[in-house]
Amino acid sequence: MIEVRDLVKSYGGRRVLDGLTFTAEPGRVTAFLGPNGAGKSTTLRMILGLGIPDAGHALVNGVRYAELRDPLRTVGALLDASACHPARSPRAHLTWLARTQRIPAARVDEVLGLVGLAPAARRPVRGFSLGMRQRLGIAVALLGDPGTVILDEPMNGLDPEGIQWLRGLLRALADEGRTVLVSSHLMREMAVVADQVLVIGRGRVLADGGLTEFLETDLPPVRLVTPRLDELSRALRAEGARVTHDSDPHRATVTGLTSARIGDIAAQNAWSVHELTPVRPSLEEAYMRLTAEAVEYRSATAASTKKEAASHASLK
Amino acid sequence: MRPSSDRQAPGGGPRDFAAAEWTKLRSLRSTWALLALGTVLTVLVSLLFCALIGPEFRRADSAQRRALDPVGLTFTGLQFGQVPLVILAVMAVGNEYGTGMIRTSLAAIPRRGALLTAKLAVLGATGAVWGLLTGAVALTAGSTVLGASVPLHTDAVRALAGAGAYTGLLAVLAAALTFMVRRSLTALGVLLPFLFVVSGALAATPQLRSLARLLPDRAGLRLTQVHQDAGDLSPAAGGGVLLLWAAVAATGSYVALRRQDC
Repeated sequence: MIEVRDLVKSYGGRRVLDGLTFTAEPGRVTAFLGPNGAGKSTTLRMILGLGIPDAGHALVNGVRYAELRDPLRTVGALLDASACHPARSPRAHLTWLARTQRIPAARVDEVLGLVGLAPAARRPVRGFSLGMRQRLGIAVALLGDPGTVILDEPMNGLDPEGIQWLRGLLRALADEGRTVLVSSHLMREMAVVADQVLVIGRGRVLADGGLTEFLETDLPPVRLVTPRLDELSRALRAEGARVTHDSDPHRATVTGLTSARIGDIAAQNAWSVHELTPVRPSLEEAYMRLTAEAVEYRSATAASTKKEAASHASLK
Repeated sequence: MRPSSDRQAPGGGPRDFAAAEWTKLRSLRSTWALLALGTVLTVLVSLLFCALIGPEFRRADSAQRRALDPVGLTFTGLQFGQVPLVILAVMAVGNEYGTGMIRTSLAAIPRRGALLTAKLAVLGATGAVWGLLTGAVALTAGSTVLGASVPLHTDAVRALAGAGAYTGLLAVLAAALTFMVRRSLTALGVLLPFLFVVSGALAATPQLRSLARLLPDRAGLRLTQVHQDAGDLSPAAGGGVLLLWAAVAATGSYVALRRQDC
């Protein structure tokens, strides 16, 4: 379990983390999302004790990372896939890491097999593709069989087969009761695997909750098919809805009203409706809307910025 | 595969950390290449000096022979052979920062003092063992070329131990400095001119000679010498000065590393 409370960190006068608070629970895959520069990597580094926060704290299983007895057996992390000496082999890299916490040498071969690097175990990392480096980074994270796994952009550079494999791995880790925190920009992949969604922007939490809740945050658009589209459109607009017609003369997308309300309005007028389907937005769309607003806030005045961000933090 | 708890795990200690650092060091071919290069340079330069001084040494009487310092002469090559060792120590730390591996290292050993201690201890021990082995070859081969007796007397043994202490402390100094500047090139940019240019220039300027003898390499190399001119530090004092340099650098690197955002 990871608990981050009121984390504040500034670099050269720029506030990278601005009172960040969230919890990543065991048994769930938590997708850690946010635009570049939102503070994701900084947050992960604070959790691992690699930087000293100006205020607040980050705890793993209730203690600060630096106080963990054998950290690799508690937390496994992939922060940067290229963080290995180019002349060193994956086997040597994992061996020295294993040595720090008395992890048996057999475990090194085990994780090398697990990530599919066994055939390249003794080759220098220098010649590796980004995908292979990611696999090595994942092997590092899994080395100590930790209860908490933190992966920063693990899907970068993986081929489709690799992404599918990683998806299965993340699911399996969470199902075994581990805490899994994964940052990524690949929304479609995260939508498949995530249980929780945590979105941050400018060092603050924009949204934090279950994936389904996250996608149902707003009134979903409703796809409407009716032979009386013109009349119904007028009636819906009168109710404050926005109606977007498409190429089919009987079909439109309605936003701002629930499908129930639309159906009621049609029924009151005895207009037949052939289709009335709420269209759930994709994670990507929901994310884009949320972070686009965060970008808009940037040009707002300081006072209103705080208010808006606060109201968004309560979205969960 | 049950998630293991942080309580039931057997704890890694200083010895495990040192073993891990040694694994890092020995798994790079460049480590062995640099150490071999250092040995070759040391022995070759020592032999060259011994061959040049040889005729004069063989003509000299016993008092003059002592003044030529036949033991110290055989370690002359260390002044050149130490450079690959310094590069090794600098790279061992600089590469951690250059590749970002420092984060992995600190994730494995979050107590920064423990990581620093393991790193400096392993590099120091590597330097010391290398200095002893290389020094033994240089001493034996050099003495033969010089035409001196087989060096089994206490002075020679003390000087050989001094060579090991010198190279060990030099490696610690170089590594500690690199922790402070975080970049191999910056560290080498400070160390190499210091060892080659500044040290030589100061020593060649009479007014500054007393200052030059306090430089880490000048002071430390006294450990490998037997003969003492007026104004020279004693071998023990020289070793003490180098020890002080290394201790100050190690303390500085501890303070720096504790404050670093990695």
